[in-house]
Amino acid sequence: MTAGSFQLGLQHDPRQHDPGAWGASLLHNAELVVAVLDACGGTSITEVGALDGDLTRLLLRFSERAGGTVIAVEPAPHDELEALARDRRGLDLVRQTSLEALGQIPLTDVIILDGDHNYYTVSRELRLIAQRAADAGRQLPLVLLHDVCWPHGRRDDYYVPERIPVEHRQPIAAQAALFPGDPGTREGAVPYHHPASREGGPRNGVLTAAEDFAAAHAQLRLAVVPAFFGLGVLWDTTGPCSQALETLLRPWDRNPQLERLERNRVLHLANTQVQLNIVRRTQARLAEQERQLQCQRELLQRMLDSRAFAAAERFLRLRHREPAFSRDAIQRALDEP
Amino acid sequence: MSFPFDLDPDERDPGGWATSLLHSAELVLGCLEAVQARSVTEVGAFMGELTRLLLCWADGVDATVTAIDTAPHPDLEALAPAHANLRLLREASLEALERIELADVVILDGDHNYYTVSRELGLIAERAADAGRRLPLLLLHDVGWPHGRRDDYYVPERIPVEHRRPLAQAGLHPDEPGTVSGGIPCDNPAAREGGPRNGVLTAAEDFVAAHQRLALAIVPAFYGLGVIWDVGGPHAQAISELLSTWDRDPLLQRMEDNRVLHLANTHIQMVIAREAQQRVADNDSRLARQRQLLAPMLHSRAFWAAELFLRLRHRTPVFSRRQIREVIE
Repeated sequence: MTAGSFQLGLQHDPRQHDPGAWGASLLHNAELVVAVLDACGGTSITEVGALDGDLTRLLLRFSERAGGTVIAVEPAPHDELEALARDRRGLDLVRQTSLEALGQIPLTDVIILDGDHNYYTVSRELRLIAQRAADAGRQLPLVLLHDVCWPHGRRDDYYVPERIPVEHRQPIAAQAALFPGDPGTREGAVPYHHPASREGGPRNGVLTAAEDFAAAHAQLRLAVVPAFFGLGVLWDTTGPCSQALETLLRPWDRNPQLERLERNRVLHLANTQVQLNIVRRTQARLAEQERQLQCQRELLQRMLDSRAFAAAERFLRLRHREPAFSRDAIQRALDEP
Repeated sequence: MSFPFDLDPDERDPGGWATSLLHSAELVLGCLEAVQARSVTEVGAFMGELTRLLLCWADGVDATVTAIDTAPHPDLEALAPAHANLRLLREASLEALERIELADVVILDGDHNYYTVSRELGLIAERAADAGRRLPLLLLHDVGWPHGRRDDYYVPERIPVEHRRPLAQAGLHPDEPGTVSGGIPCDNPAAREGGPRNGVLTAAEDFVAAHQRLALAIVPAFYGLGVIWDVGGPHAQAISELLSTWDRDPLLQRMEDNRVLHLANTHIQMVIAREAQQRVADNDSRLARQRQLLAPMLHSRAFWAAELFLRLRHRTPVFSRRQIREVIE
């Protein structure tokens, strides 16, 4: 894949903010994101859920070259994103939730949704964008959605559950861990803050929200690229760049081999977490055992060193051939490697 | 999502290592279709996972499959009697390739080292030239990590010593060109990754560089699939179109890198966990043995008398039944 006229030149290593190598930032899909931006020809971009600005940096380089702007929407920006906003004129950082911000900020050519990963929020974001486009007599902007595959494609997660009206919230398994292929939760797997306790079913997950939105609007096309937790691309098929997007994304869209690769990737990602947790638990158990062994050894040693203990053993030997305890046996136990 | 011919690539792969080329089924079938193949040779058929797919394909287009394996798995042996269009050769690739009829497509997935793959490729090219034919379409498995740049030998003694890399008996990890304790186990891997004349991809690259008009595509998925074809051939355009999206694609490469990283990390942690669990078991029996020494003292009058004697002389005795209860409970 080529990144079109735009030279990617990633100065920013996608692994820098990713010590566990989860590949959770959309930056891991950089080439495809840039190719999509190139294909649609847009220059103004809104990024919902900018977090530490990993992807924002890339978007800025793209938009600045074309004289465009980036709006980063993030209710809790990291320091690095704040610093980026101070340094770069082309970046407008909006410290609000997406549903507050999307109602007021200028409607951009491209909107990237990577905020709160649940059906309610993503559905409302999409509806808000569609409504503002309709009000302005414009076509739907090109929409990119992150996390349309496991784990959030078919399972809600909530940053702050209380922000979601209770009737739109799935039952939550707080601080639970998820394992691909297991629709429930699994101890020691990949940890999340407030995931839905079950995967699947209606009105659950980011992909379900995107599909329901696409189904409810005529002329929309949804491509699903199963790479690094999944990238969804949603566009108006009557738009001028529709054919270019179709050509670009068709080989990737729901590609079964790519799906298998991503499934295998997250399987081993989860396996690593499971094993790490086993190691952690086992090492805690080892430390506890070492403490117990030490206490027992010290007590046995004090007995060995005691004349009263030796006298008791001698007394026993006078009465029984096999005494209930012996210093020899204790010495042997203490000499064990 | 349905798998081609309703096969299940995970059936014989409980650990999810995805080492069979079957995991790249759609691309393999795409290649066979692109060149309108009617015969395919599979070197290194092993358990017959890919062979099964090739047979399903062959049944539909009336093609033949030749599977070569020095040590076929019983599952592969079982396929042969049931399929008239399968020929199973129980010999080394370098012997078989010398005499069997040259197929339209040759899949190389046998002994993963520079010497063997180079000789396989050289032999195929030589036989094609002798027959005045174009080079068959060549598919090579394992052009990515770990064997792309690192030899592995089924039986080191079969490789002339001057063509063998120094070996290591340890595991592999994608971040380490040497070896790592607890890393991914291989048969007999080279002690170091990289450098000249090391690995399957290096063999493929050197072969392509030494021949005119050959193209090499690398699909970095499931340990890497390499495809070599004659750019002057009648199907060159179709092959190139099939592979252009994936050839050395950086995003796909990043996914595969991440996949094998976690695969190797899991293995390392599993080995650490197993060692730690063994130590826990050892400690448990050590604790139990010490408790067997301590427990009878609780019921011994002589011990009670010794403790009483100590209490008379010291306020806090150096041992007591209470202390025993504290440590064993």
